[in-house]
Amino acid sequence: MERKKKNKLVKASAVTKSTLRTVSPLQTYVLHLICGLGLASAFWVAHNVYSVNLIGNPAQTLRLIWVIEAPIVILLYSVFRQNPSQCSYVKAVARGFLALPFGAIANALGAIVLGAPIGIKYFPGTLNWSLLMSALTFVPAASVFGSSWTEWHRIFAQTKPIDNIDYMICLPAHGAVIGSWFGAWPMPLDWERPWQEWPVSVTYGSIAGYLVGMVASFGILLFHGVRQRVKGD
Amino acid sequence: MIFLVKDHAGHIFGVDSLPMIEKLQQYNGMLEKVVDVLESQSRPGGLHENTLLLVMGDHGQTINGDHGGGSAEEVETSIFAMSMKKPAPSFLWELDNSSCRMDLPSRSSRIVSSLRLLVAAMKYFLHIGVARSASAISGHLRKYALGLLAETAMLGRKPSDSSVSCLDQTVKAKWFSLQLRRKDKAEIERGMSNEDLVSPENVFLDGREVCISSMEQLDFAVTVSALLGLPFPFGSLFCFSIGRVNPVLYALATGIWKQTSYSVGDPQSPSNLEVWMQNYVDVLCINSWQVKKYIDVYSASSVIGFSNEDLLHVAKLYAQAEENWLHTLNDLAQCKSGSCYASLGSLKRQIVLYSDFFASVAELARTKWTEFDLKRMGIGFGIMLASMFFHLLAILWVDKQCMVSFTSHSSSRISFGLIFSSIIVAIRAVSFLSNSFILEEAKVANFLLATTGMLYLRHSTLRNKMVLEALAFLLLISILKLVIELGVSKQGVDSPFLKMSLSWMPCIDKDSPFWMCVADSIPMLALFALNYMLYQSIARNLCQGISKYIVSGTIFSHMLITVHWALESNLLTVPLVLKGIRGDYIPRIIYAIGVAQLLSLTPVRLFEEDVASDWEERIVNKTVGMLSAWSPTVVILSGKQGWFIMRFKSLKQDSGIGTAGLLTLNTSSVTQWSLFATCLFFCTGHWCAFDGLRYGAAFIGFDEFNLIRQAILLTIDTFGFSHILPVFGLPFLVVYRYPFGQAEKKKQFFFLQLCHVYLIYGLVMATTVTFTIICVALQRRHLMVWGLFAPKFVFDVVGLTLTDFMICVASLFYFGPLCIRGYDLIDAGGSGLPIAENGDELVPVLKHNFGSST
Repeated sequence: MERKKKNKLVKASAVTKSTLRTVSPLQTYVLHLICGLGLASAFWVAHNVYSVNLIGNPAQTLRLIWVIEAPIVILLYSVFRQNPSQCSYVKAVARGFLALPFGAIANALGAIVLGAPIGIKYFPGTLNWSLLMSALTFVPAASVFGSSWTEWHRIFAQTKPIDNIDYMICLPAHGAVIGSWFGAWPMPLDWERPWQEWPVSVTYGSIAGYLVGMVASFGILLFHGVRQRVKGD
Repeated sequence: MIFLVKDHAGHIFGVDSLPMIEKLQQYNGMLEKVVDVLESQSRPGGLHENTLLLVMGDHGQTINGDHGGGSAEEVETSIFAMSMKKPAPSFLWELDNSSCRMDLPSRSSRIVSSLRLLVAAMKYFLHIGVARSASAISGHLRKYALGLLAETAMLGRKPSDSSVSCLDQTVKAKWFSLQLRRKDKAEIERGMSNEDLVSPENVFLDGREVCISSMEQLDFAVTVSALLGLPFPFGSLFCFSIGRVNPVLYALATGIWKQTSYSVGDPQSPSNLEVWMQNYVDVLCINSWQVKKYIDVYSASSVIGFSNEDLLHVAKLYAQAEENWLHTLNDLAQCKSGSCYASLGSLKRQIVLYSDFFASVAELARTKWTEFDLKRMGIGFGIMLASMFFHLLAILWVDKQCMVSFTSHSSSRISFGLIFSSIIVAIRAVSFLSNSFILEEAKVANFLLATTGMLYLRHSTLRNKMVLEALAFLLLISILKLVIELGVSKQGVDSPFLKMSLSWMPCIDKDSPFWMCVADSIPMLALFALNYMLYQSIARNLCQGISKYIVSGTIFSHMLITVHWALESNLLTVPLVLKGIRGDYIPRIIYAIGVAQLLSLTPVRLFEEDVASDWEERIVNKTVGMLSAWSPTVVILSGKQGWFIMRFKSLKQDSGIGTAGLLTLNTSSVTQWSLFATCLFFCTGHWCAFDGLRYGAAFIGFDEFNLIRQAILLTIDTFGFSHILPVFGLPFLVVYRYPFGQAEKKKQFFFLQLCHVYLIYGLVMATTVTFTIICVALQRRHLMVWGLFAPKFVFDVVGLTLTDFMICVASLFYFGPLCIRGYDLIDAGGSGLPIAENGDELVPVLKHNFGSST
């Protein structure tokens, strides 16, 4: 059974590959760099223009970050959409924006199951955090794959990235989720530091994880790309 | 005066931070003012002639501003005492070799001012915060002395100039040179020599004399009582009952009281030194008499008192001192004229004798009350490790058996599930090393459980099956989390969550009869639903024979519980006759039914014939029967909180069956199961503290107290949902997993698996408890040890013992006499050991417990 499935998948990916734009390591590098710079600039704007920071005003800062980061992610990833011949750029962008709230709901539910505090006081924080998480995890996949269940299944359930673009979606997303999981650990400590509040440390964790994921994705693509080329030769 | 802000500043910003320095300077200003006022009114006849100023901290701190540990910098704090009197004569320093000496006539002649300062480091005798005792004392101090309580940890701190400067204007001495920590001794000396000081222990600057000494915390209360003329503390805080009056502090405050009563020119009049010594010996006499009495009372009343030879030794010293004093007094009595005084030599000898007595008592108390039996702790820990090792060996052995007999199943042994579950167990265990994670154990367990739940969801979407079950499981976890949060909010009444949930439902008037009615009837409805499920299982013919009767018995008990609740909440109007009996009889009937069910399950076990065909069904029957036999008792004990748990129970059975189907290895599901059990513990409104026990539950059905009966009921209430039911429910994980193969082989495999599951469950429990033990051993000097670590330890160990016992019972019950022999041995090897260990480990702790409580 397993082997059959694998074969099928390989075939399917081979089919899609022909229609997919190939992504060079340079493009990956540029995309990740812009995404990272987007995050950095969001922090810069929050700090210098609106003079808010994550610890003092988590909800406002998070809102600023996702408002800046989400369009960047959507616009960039839509370039590498699947089946560019059938799916226009605008459509890819539109489904990216559409996925934002759905991803946010999924992320918020996950956070609540894991123990995020519930209540009116925490609602803005949770909302903005989950929107940011959605921009980091769901939205790229939605822009690239649309509603293709097999691809989603392959990326998020099986964690079997095959193509370059798969790595670019899969690794940062998993990095963000795992990072936020680890970011939750300092919360119960009795240090009474302001950054231990929900969603501050979790946000730090997810952003750190996201950055690590991007670096890993770029590194793997460099390595992987070389290997592919060797194979091709 | 109590300065609290400095504590927060130290905690939040650290010691050398700007806010801390600002606070110190602010307090310094206040202190300066106070000292100025005191000095200005310190003339003979002035308001503050007899005032003693005490400034002290209730604990020290580390560089980060933390405290609560046992290190010297945390438990040693500073006390600053200042007397407005004329300088006491030099004899002071002969009394205490650790304090400053006046061996420099050229220097002492330069003393012009009457101000004397004494700085002493107060060592904590036991790490019970002195704040309690100090605040108790400060009430009495008000009349005589101005008690200033501040955390003057700055004295024990490396100088950052601004923080040091806080006092130096007052004292005109470099205060940083008064650091008392041993490691800074060299630095002190350097600092002193820079200031051209003669001795590191004497500071004479501007005619003010500063003296460094150290005193034990246990001496403080006694000394202050002696100064104030209050009775010495006796009994309440046991460590303060054996202190001795500290000569330096005492001398500083009392000075030369009686000087005026003697004519100045009388050549026969005793010297100041003699008068003071006489006075001090009198005080010591009373003091030692009381300490002796306390020791006697203590050893008579406590369970584990002092040993006989120690007592004899102390008594001998006391008798010696008493005899000597009596002798001196006799000599004095023979001297008729009023001008006879005890000689200086005899007084000194007397003081030495008393000091010996106090030293031996303190030493005795220190070894018995504050020192842990490290050897026994080591043995207990070693046994715990050995038990984990045996568990592992047994698991590997069973694994091998599985491999041998079922080669088809020898797939990858080290799977993701195994790694993941060991990581989860390790994280949970390691988290017990931190006190904050112990406090938040419920949340941590829930977090980990939710993580496993999410991974199962992912796993099931990967396989494209049982997605619904995984989702249901997640939903269950989130409900569990909500309930835990509610339970936690019940601990602290003013928790934000409660207020929030109240603000959520503004429309609900809590007192309106309608909502009361709804709140009362929800649990009953839940029970009805459960009954319906049980009834269905009968109807579906799942249960046969005696199990059927047992399940119907359970249904009947549930009905009775419903009636009981209805009667309690006054939903129904009951005739008076019924009211009289309602309290006790229904619970008793339920207990009786439970016991009868359990008893009837035993013959089932014994007499049933081993038919290979329907063993699986029978196992299910047995499990259902066992669970249903226990559940009514547990439900009625846990009261109305139990209702939603019951719902969970049934849900859990479903989802447990569900998840089990997904798994590749037992380990992860067992880990999940044990996490679930932990969550249930917190969910039922318990927490790991003795006030977390629900004592009310012990009296459901019984009004009068009977130790054994009430203890059993309380145990069932506390551990029922979290330890007893999960152990009996474990077979659910295994039953539906291998629906293939031949019956006989399948059966063998099943039992191996069940054995495996129980062993893993035991190992998971043992691992967490081992880490709890490590944590408690490491933190045995912690401030919170009685509030947090010891209860956690006791709960865990009792839970482990109970679990092991229940595993033994369950394995006897499920495996039966036929096919277990070998496996039962493993189980005994694995789980029997921790029981022995617990007894071992408990002894020193209980001993300590008794010691401190008495």
